[in-house]
Amino acid sequence: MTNQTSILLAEDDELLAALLRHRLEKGGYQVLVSRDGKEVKEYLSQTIPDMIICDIMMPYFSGMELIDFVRNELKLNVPIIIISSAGNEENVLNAFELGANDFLSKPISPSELLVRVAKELKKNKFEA
Amino acid sequence: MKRSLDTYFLNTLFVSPQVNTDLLWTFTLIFVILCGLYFGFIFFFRNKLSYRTRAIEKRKKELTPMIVEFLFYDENSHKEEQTDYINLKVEIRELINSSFNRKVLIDILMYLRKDLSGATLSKLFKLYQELGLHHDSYEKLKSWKWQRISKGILELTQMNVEESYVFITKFINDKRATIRKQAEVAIITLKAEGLNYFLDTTTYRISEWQQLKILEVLINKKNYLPPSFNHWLMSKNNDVVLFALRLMKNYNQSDGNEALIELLKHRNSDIKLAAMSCIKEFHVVDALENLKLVFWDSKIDVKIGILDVISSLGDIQEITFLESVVAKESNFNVKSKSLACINIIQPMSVLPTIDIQATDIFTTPMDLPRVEPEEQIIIKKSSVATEPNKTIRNEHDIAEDRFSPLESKVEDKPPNELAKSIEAKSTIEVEQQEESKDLSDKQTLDSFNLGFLPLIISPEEGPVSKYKPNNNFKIAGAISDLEVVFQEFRNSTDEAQKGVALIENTKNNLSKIVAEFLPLVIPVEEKSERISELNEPHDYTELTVVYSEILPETNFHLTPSAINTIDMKDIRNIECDVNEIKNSQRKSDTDETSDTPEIYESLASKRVNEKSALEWVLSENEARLEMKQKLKSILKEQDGISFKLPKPIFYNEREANTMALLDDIEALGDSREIPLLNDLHKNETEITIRERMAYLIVKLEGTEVLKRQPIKPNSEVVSVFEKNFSSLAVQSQLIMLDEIALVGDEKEIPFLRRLIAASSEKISKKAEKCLGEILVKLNSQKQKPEELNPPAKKTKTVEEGRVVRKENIEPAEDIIEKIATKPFNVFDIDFDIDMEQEDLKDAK
Repeated sequence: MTNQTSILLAEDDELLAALLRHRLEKGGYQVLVSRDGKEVKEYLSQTIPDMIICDIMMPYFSGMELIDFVRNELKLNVPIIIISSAGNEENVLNAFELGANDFLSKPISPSELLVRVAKELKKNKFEA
Repeated sequence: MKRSLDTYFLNTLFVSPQVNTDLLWTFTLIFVILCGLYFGFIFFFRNKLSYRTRAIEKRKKELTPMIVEFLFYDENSHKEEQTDYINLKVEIRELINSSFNRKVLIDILMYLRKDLSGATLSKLFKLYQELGLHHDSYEKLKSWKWQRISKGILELTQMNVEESYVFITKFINDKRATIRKQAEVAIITLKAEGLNYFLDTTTYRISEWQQLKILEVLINKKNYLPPSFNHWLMSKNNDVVLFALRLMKNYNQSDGNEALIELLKHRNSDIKLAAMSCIKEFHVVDALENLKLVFWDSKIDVKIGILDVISSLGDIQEITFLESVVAKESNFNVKSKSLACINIIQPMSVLPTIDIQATDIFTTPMDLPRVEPEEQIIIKKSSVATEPNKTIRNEHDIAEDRFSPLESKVEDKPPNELAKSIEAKSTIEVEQQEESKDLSDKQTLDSFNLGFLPLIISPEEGPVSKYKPNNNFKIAGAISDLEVVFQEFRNSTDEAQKGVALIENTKNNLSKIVAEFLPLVIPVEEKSERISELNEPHDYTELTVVYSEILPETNFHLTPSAINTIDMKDIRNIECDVNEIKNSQRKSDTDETSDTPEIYESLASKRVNEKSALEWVLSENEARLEMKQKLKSILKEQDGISFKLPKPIFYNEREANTMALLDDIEALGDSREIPLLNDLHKNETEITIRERMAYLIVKLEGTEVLKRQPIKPNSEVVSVFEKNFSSLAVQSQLIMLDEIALVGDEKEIPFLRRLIAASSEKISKKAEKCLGEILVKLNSQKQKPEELNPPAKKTKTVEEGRVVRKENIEPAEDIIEKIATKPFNVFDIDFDIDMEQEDLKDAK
């Protein structure tokens, strides 16, 4: 179990978080769910996950701020996938500019998310 | 007293009513009671609501994992998971008996619906119907409350229950607008023919907002083939006609031109305008006559619309009509539009007329005394005026001559001196060529620096020798007549000498700098010359630069102790240094090699001469090997510990097997193994193995014979279903028996027999049927044992599963497509054991 790939899922919607968590765990990943930005920050100060999946709209600390925090303050190269219902062009561009690796617009397909996670992790492994 | 009271009452203006105090108390009491009841009700309902909300949240948390489990259940999962899934199904069956739970389930599914897509969404729709939650929505349709009906329609639409189409169509002409609108959107969403039904049957108005919503639904519908909307142009409902026209325009359906032309005669202005919009879009030229016909009786906005269409479709023939509009129409906007139309059809045919003055008014003024607007600057040589004046004009002069007339005086000097003199004290003579020459005024401006200007001479002078000392010339006349000769000014001899001195200084400085750190720069032809000789003038552009690499100081001697400190990895670097030294020797003799280390001295002193390159390479390799060996030997001597370590022993296959056997005997054996060990010891030739055997014989001599218990087969076969069966309701027990029939094996037989013997008639019959099915299945398995026991079919751990998944990652599209196309039935298909192709191949 210790060798499992860990994923930090930052999603304030409990139902969706539970659903995605189940899907990712079934896909063989170890998933930790954070309900808001504060929790995410606390978790990141203790552990570095292999991947971060975060919603843009979160209490206390938005997804954009989280990317900025991870890339510029923690200087981490962890792959970040953004999930958002506000999938307009500006949001997508901003997310990518800040350093997000992928963007999924709601409604999302959990199977698609799983494939994208695998792809990003593989890519990150090769880059490392 | 009485008198005083009378006085008091008479004097007062206001008299308070004499109300009975008891009555007042009664009212106060009633008010307090009402207030208490009011706050009590508020408190009660508030608490009830918050309790209900908390209960819903709690139940949601309990039900969400179940829903998620259902959504992501894999049919090919292993048996444990399948059993869990069956238990979950049974559990959820019991839960949905409660209306509260059903409500919560609907809420969860409705909530998840907006966040999910793809195959998971399809599974969600299926689950909604499999759990029978659509029946709750149907019940809502029967309610008399409009909000309940509306919610029911919404649920059925969101969960894509196509069967509900028939029930919802009843609400298309409902008198309550909310329900009607909900039903309209629902039937269009559920089925493609919903739009046809709606347009055919609706008798109510369709608001603009509703039209937009329906259009949005149609646009978002996948693979939607719109019907021919011209069928509804004949509808009695004007809104349907209007909507049909808009849809025709949206879907570019130009197959109803005749109907469009006819609609121009419609009483409704909106329909007229929509028809005109279509006519303009589809370029229906045939409609022009009808447009002109209906024009005069139309409203102003329609008239403007008609003129707009005419301007778009019409040609010159329409100008007569448009002119008549201008003549007859009283409305300003219509008039303006028709004029604009004329100009669109025939540009610039209508010119401005308002506030335009007659041509006669304009008179030509008398000629004023002619004044030459421009001044001409004449630059001439002041000494001799042999040639007629030529006028020189440039932009700079034109700009300046308004402020001050200039006179330029050019002295007779050679061109180089001339330029200097111009630069130093140039005089510009400016002559104003007017009729009256008296007005000419000459001024000298010494302050102007005209050194940057080119010399301009007249063509008559011909090419002037640039170096002739008394080459006087005068410049005058028009600038167009002049021939411009661009002359390059060179430094005078003194300046040239100064320049040479400067270059020499630079060279000296350069030589100093070069001597310090720059590479040697030597002319090609004079390679042997030293750097000091660079003081002589050279054309520096023709010099060839010879780069000589200056190596870092390597004046260290490798003593044996120093060699010890060298890592073997650094030998490569040392070799590189040798090469560099050699190369540098070949390039330049001036390089010093006296400081090279002793070990390299022999290599460095050898010159690479004309003998042969091969010889040189070989000698270098020899030297390199020699040096490596030398270093190794020194390191060996230093590293005494390494020699004390035992050498590795490599066994052959037989020896390895023997050692493995000895390991097992050591771990599990007792004194009974000693005879075997003795035999082996006699035959063994390898010393280490013999030693091991001897050690084991000594070790096992004192041990007791271990008493091993024989492994008893587990006689009592327990069914996994039996544990939960008794705690279930009858309905759930029946469902479980169905599942047992699908997935059960021989372990379930005793349990089923017990059920047949001691259960109710219903359960007993079901169990009997179930038992029969299991027996048939087992029988068929026995007939084809090789097919049903595939070697690859084993339970994988999570880690193993992950590895397999990682190795066989399919492309995203394939996975999504696979998931989307895979049939999913929560209660029926889950436990069909399908042999995978790979398994079948393996079995074969």
